[in-house]
Amino acid sequence: MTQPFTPNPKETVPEIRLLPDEDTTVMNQEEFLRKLFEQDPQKGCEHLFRRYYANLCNHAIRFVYAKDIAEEIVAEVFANFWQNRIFERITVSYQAYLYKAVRYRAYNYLKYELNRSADLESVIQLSEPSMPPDAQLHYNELAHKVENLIQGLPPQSRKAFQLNRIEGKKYAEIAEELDISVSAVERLISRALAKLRQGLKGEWLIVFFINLLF
Amino acid sequence: MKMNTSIPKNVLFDFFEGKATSLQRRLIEEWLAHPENEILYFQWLNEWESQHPQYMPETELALQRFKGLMNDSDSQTPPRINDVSTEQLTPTINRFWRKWAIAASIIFLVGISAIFFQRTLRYERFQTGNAQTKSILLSDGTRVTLNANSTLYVPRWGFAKTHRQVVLEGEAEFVVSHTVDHQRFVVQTDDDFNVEVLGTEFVLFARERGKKVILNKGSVKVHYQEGKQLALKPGDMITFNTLDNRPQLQKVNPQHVHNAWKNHQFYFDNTPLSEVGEIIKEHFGVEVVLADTSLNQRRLSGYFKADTPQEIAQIISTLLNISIEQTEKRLVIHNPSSKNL
Repeated sequence: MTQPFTPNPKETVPEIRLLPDEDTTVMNQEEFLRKLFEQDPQKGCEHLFRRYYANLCNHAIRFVYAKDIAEEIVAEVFANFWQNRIFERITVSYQAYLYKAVRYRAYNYLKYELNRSADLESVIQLSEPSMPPDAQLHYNELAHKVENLIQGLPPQSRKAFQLNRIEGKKYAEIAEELDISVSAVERLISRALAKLRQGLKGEWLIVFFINLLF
Repeated sequence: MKMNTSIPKNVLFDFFEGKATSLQRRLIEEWLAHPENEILYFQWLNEWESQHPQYMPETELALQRFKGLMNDSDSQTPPRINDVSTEQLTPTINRFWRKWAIAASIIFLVGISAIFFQRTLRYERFQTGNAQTKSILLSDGTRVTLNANSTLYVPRWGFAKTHRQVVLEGEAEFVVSHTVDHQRFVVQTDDDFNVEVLGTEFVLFARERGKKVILNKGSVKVHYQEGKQLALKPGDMITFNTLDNRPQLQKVNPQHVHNAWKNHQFYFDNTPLSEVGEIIKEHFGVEVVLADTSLNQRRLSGYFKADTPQEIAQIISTLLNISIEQTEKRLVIHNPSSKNL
């Protein structure tokens, strides 16, 4: 059996982390990318993907707390970037666009997951919202909130939740690892989700209402 | 105009870490109010993420998949109807848009005709008749169990390099195998509707009266009309009514009853008789007529085994105390009271 989403620790660190990212190079970077996209959009997309994929996944996971979902979100952002030729419309920064798009999708996912009875239509309508200046800061705070809530879970519940979401383990596997019954695992995980839901409800509304106001 | 003050990088890093004071937050907020600082904000965010990885995603594998997608939408490989339409960002109409809209509709038309003219050539067909179920093992290890009166089309010459795709009319259960290179598995139905997965178990229902996806394990994405999509979690059942095509999400429990048909069993959960009639028609190919409108209100619950329409008719008539008249192609359900009058 292959474990689809478990990273291989022996694998070399992705190239992206080794690139220098000094302030002075950012404009040159953007300039370089713009030229690349003019010549060969596919190469441009590839370059962005190589450079940002790992970091964007790491960013998305702060919100959705599941590897496969984080990767799915980033893959979708890139697919959309290519299929709708978003790159033709980037005037300021490719990097900023990618982060914003990932955050927005992660936010929508969280909203959808935590509020199952929400009007599905409104959740799936993924248009780029016009955001207030500090909306980007709210995202950081939302990520902290998620992290704190998870840290605050009872140890057993946190363990089960992390094994399930991060390691992608099935309930039965978790039951074996923690030496408890499958139904106990179910209870632990649903308790964790309930805690998250409860803890984020208020947070959620703040961000949500700001979106409505602007 | 306020001066655009600069901000030390470590203050922003503290903020990313959740260690900034409220005064520092205000400072950042003011700083970020200048749009030109946004670039630097995201650049530093990216740098911070590089320094604080939580796990190591497999960039190369994911990139292969992304390259596949890019090459895919260049050519006209299997008709994916919603290749071209996903969300719109800011609705700026520029000259590219028109050009791409035209190109998109051409690809769309090519796609549609490809479905109709090339299907018989390119796809192998598996079909079930009345009261039949059939289990098919695909080349990638995926198992498909077809319910009665359903058809599955599988590429005759193997799957494409980039993704696995099959076409379904009717109802089937899929147990999709996860490939080493995380290839997507796409089930297309006739309309602008498909289900996309990596490795998972789900039941897809696509018949005249609507569409339904029930997810047992893993995760799936459902694409429906104009690039809209939904992600399902285990235990989710999503239903699309043919009339309004709006998704309705329900939690189902226990999950296994939705593939009861695999063992010629029927599962009803407070199901209206009219729907029971539809299910019998889909399964046995006999028309079910409710002779009395009051019968529409009657509902049926339970788990039944029946190999013939006669058997199920008998069960229903006993349970609901109604009479059922059988001809070769029809079951007519009467309300006994009205008949007696």
